[in-house]
Amino acid sequence: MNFWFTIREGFKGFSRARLSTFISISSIVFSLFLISVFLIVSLNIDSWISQLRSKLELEVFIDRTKSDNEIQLIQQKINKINGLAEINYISKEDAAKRFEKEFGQNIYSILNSNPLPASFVLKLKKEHQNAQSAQIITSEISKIDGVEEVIYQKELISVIDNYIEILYLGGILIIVLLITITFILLYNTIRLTIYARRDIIEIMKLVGAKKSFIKRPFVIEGILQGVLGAGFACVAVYFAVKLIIRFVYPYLILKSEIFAILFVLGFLIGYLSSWMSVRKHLQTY
Amino acid sequence: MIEFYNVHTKIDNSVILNNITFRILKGEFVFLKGSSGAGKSTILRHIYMDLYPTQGMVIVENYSSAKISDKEIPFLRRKLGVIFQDFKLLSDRNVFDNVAFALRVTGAKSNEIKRKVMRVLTEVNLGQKRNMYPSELSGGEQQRVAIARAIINNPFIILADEPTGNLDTKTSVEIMEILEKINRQGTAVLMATHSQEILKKYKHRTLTIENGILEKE
Ligand SMILES: Nc1ncnc2c1ncn2[C@@H]1O[C@H](COP(=O)(O)OP(=O)(O)OP(=O)(O)O)[C@@H](O)[C@H]1O
Ligand SMILES: [Mg+2]
Repeated sequence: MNFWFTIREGFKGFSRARLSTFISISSIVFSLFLISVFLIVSLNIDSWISQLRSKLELEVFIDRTKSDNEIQLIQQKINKINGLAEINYISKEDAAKRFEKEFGQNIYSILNSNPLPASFVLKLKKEHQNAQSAQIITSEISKIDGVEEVIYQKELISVIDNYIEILYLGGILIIVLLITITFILLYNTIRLTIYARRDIIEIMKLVGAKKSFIKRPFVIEGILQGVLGAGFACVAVYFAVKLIIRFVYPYLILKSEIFAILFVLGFLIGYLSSWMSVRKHLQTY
Repeated sequence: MIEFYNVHTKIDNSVILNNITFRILKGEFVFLKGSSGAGKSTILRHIYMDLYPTQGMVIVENYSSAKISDKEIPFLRRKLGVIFQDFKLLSDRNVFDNVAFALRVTGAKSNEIKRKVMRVLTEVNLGQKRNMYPSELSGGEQQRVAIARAIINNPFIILADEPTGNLDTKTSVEIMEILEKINRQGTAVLMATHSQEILKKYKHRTLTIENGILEKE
């Protein structure tokens, strides 16, 4: 009874401050939509980048003069280094085969001998697939006697590392800004509803309603607006993603967690903004 | 019951009540008379503790203006019934729900609400009109709805702030008769008015206030 009374009164707020309710729900939908665009973009960039990162390989070229035994020793030393996921040995013969595969010509038929050095191809553990770790590991390996050179795609990895941070930071700033604006709009809507319903508030006080009872419908109203906005945003995101997959980019990833995030955000924005507005604008006694 | 002890009240540095002392006993009917701006509404507001004395003390049943906490105020108000010149009904709900409102905010059960609302509506003779909206009622009927709402929690006193101020003589008498009836059933009434007609017709103890000062009875 009490519960339904509160819910009903919460809904009544909608019709009292119709325009501002409309504006604040729209703004929730708009910002949550943009937030999910950002989330989807970063989700996709993220999976793309971790694919790139996982392809990162260090190629360790061995001094041509080293014997097989010495090479084994080098491998043992490399083995001890932290952060490596995989070590593959490419012998001179393997290198020659690779050469033939890539260039379509047998190296012996061109040079009469095989000048290709033996090498190790190293893969890094996931947490070390970044510029800094690659740098450290490279310098450690370079110190090993018999290692001639270590090469990897240095530029690519440092570009990724540098720009991704800026991209994320920018995105987070935009999100914070959007949430703040939405928050203020909702806060204000609740203020207007409180004003529009000052008659019922006055009567509630007169007939002995408790403070929390008077406040609750307004908070419920804020939560309803937040959750409703999240619902609309989810629908919009769902169809937008479907369209993009269909017509633009079929590999777009969408995770259901994004919908959960939208609902949680909508709920929190609605709850906190209305709670603060009520605290500020509803002087009960 | 209700006691004012040397109540001084200032609002924005102007003196509104000046050394008011009086007492209202259980089941009494008391008029509060005085010209416009004399301080009648202000006295009533002290009783439902919408306003506190700057000096002195107001005691209502077991609550004191000096000690009451925010949390206790709703419970004090449930023991009072307040009615006004402008009725203060909610235009978005019908007679039944306007009256039920006072019970719903206390978290009463719906079968209890139904029973009690029908009882008080019968009391004020509005049982038939329970589904009508305030805008469809006459002034007298609206005030009767307000009275029904005021008595539904079995208050020990009705505070009436010029309840007949917006009504013609005939309707005023109707409202007065209802208040008299409620009073005969044991509920005290404190009614602010400046209607000479009513004061002449209904003989009750009368407090006279002018410029925030209570005249000797
Ligand atoms: N909130 C307020 N702020 C400033 N002054 C106030 C306030 N409320 C009342 N007053 C002043 O207090 C005085 C008494 O007001 P009150 O409303 O009690 O008079 P009243 O006797 O009820 O008059 P009326 O018959 O017109 O209703 C008036 O001079 C009024 O201007
Ligand atoms: Mg008055």
